[in-house]
Amino acid sequence: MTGSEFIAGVFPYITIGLFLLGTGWRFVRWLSLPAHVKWTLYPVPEGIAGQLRYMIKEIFTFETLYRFNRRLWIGTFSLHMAMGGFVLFLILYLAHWSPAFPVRASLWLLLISLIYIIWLRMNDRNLRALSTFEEYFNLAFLAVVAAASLIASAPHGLFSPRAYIIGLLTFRPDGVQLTGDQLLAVFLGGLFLIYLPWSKMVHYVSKYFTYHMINWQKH
Amino acid sequence: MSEIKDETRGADPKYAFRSEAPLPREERVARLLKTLEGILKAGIYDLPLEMYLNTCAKCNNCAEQCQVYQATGDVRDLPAWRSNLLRRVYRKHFTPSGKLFGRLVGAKEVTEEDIDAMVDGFYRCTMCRRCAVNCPLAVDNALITRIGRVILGDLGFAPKNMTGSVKTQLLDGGNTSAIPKAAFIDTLDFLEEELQDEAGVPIPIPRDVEGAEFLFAAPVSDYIMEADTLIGIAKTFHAAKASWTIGTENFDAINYGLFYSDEKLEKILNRLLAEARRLKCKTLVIGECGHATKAGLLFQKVYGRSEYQDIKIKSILEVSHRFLKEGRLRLDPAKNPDLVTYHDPCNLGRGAGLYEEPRELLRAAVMNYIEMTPTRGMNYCCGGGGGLVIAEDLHTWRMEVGGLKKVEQLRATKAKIVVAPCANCKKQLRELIQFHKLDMELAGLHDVLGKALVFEKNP
Amino acid sequence: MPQIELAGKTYDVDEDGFLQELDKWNEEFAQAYANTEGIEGQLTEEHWKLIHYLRNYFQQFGIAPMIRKVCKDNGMDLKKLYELFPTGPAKGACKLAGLSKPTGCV
Repeated sequence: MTGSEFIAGVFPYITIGLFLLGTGWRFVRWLSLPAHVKWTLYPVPEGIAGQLRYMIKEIFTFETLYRFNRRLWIGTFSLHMAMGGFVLFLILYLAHWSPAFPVRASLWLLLISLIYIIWLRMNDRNLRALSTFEEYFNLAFLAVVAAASLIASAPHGLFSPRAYIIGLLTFRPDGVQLTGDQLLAVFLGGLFLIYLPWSKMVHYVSKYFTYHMINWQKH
Repeated sequence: MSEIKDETRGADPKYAFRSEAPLPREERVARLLKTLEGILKAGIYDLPLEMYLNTCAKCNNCAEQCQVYQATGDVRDLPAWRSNLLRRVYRKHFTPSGKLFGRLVGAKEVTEEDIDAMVDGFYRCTMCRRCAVNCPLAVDNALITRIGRVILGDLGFAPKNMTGSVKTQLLDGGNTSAIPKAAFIDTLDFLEEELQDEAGVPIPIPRDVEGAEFLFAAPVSDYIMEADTLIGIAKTFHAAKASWTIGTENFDAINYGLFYSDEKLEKILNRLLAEARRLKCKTLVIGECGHATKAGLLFQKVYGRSEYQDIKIKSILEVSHRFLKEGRLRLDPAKNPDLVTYHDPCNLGRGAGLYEEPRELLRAAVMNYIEMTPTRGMNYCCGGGGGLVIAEDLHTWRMEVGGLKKVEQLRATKAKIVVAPCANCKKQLRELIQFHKLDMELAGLHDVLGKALVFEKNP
Repeated sequence: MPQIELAGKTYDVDEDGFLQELDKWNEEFAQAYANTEGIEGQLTEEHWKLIHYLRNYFQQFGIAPMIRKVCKDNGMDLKKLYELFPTGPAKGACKLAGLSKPTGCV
């Protein structure tokens, strides 16, 4: 097996495996931690329905940021929506229900959002005071992944990304025809996924705990 | 003006408040790490603490909620910046990534200067938890402040008035205001006379009644400062024909341990529970005091001795509210004609969810009521929370910085009376009213309730 | 120990200027201290009445009385008390009366 065969055909599986493992580990670790002191924050939304309503609104509108930190909201809301859009349109594209264009548009939006947030963090007095290397690194890392994906997904050659991904999904990977820039995108994207659950960006897991298991645990 | 010559004060002018006995500078770093390790190992705060130390996104939403930052505009007062003082130490010494990658992942070796910054920062936070309400990741900076304070307390940093009061309290039969038992009895007798004068019927303040349902413990400062609150509470119990008592061995609910020491918190809480046990009372009722209520409600399970777990702890607000709902209080709102507004003490509101109980009591007891803006979950702190109110050195800061937002908010209500059922808030609000010359008076909830209670002259 | 010099005499006080021992008090102490507590000129008869009242109670019970009791026993309301001692009964009046500093949430 050559290096490029490995990256195209084996590495994606390792990536997904480590991502799930890391996310699962975080989840189980936090689930195992007792909360002897109930650090409830009142008022607690009424019932499961109220809590779900709060959560869904927060996840889909980023309302708290919208209300108090509009400049950052513009960047971080579009960033997260771009990620969601990327996944959604990719699935539609794979199913032949959508052209490739919205997938690439999502990547562009992601890249622009990231550059904007990096700019904002460098230029807003308070955000600059709060930001450490870690914040810039996470943003830049994702920006590089987005840029690499844009380059790789630009129409070139005869090889279709759709065929490649379908191959991966059906466990018949065929990555021999991947070009150098495509291999790079797969590699960087994979690294990011492996890094994600171990980074501060693990809030896709942590929010469940900080809201449901801490804030909303009534005495 | 005469000047107080004080050698010890001059030694460390950079601290905003005096501490009794801080460790020598060179010993602080090692002790801080040891204490932090102890806290992490003790497993009391596991889940919230680990979440809060690991997941802040530095979005700075908290700054908009922080009344201290709003007043100063100082970067040091950004809640996330302050929390980071502890967070980066935790990451450096207690996480694998921090140990490996250091500054690359926001971790930093702690220095003596960092500890100075913590002494400054963690006592510029009133632990009001407003910032937690709108944190997208639901991180609560107040817990980080509290853990920071506990660590600093171990290093000998805590306002001298606070540690001194606790020392007095932990003496045999002691209390934070050092009221001797004979003086206490004299005060109760005086209050009974006042009760008779006001109500026209004899209303007792029962002492050491074994087997009473409720053991009532006020923040002891009430016995110096808040006659009306105590009178109102005695009237309420009496009107409801409740079985209650005060314990003369321990009558102080104050628990400053909540602000700087878990060890003290545990001792103080168990002393109070022991008094409930001595008198065989099923329920310990905490008077108008936010932090004491929270210390009891949150920490009984973890720090209360196993033999005291069956004792119920309740706020006087819950108890009086139940009396109201059961129709046991006859109230005449005409006795309180002035416009009244209500201040949610942080520890009773955000900390214990007691939002509607006081409001329903007030609406039944006053003619005119107006809400503050914002209110309930987003109400501003009095500006002296987190025990800052008892640090005399911080008085100017409390008036000019901590309480600034509160003053604007109070002024906007145009109310004549602001009701605050918390000893800490009462002291701070009274000082704010005087300092900023507001045309307003401060009252406890039971001051107002007591005035409205109607008693049959000839039953 | 912190010290303060008033009218040519030195007194041991705490960091906030409260006298350490009740017995070391004298009328010159109170008078000399008055202006630092926002009282202009000579202490009036009403001031002295309050000061002696506080000292008597303290001698008997080891603590200052409840503020309401101070008002009642001296026939004045809280407003009057603040007029006499602008820094308040606890900080102002007790300090001039030579009582030790009240602790706790007061």
